[in-house]
Amino acid sequence: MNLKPRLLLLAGTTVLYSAVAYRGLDNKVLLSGEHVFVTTEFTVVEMCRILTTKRGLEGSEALELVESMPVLVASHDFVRGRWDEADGLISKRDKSDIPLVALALTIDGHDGICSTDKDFDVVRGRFKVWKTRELLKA
Amino acid sequence: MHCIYVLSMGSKLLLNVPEKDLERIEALVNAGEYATKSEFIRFAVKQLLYSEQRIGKLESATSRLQNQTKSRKQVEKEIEWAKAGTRKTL
Repeated sequence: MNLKPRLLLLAGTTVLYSAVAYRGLDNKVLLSGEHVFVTTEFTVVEMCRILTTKRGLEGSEALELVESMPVLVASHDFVRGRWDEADGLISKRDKSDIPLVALALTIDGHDGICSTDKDFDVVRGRFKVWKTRELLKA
Repeated sequence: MHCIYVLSMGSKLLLNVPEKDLERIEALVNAGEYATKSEFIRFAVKQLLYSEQRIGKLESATSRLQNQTKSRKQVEKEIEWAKAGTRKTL
């Protein structure tokens, strides 16, 4: 029996799209089932946009793929309350990361953000930011 | 080890369940979460089959996608393209 503690991690398009499109560490970690991942609706939209426009999938196929990922999706309404705070923290680095930071501010007791994106360095004081490689050892 | 019979539309399954698990199942049944121990097992089996089916679909879709991928750089470019779209929207 696997007694490893599960981490509750927040992830965006960088990690989740890599996990489905590239045979690498992101893929291993996501499909290992050892951690619980949460993302936002923005990531779902971004992934569907890539899958349909860049990879030629039908809209329904793209959505089916995203929905079959072992990831919980938080609605925009869920993160709305912390949007302005997240905007203040990350928008100077990358506006597109606001939803994920808002999610990190909204969910209590999560174990951090999973991202290889350097833009998240500015929130390292607030949240633990995990690199995928670190999760394999966690 | 304890045995539980699960009845479902004429089929019967005999399961050996560790005592600790059985105690937890009984506690859930007593708390009214499930009508019977069999109902709990049927629900668990359904959940697991659904999750296996979902993982199967995901694995075949990701495998197709990964076969199309020429390099890590391509994936990074696609992500950057999508994020640029979000930046515009916000």
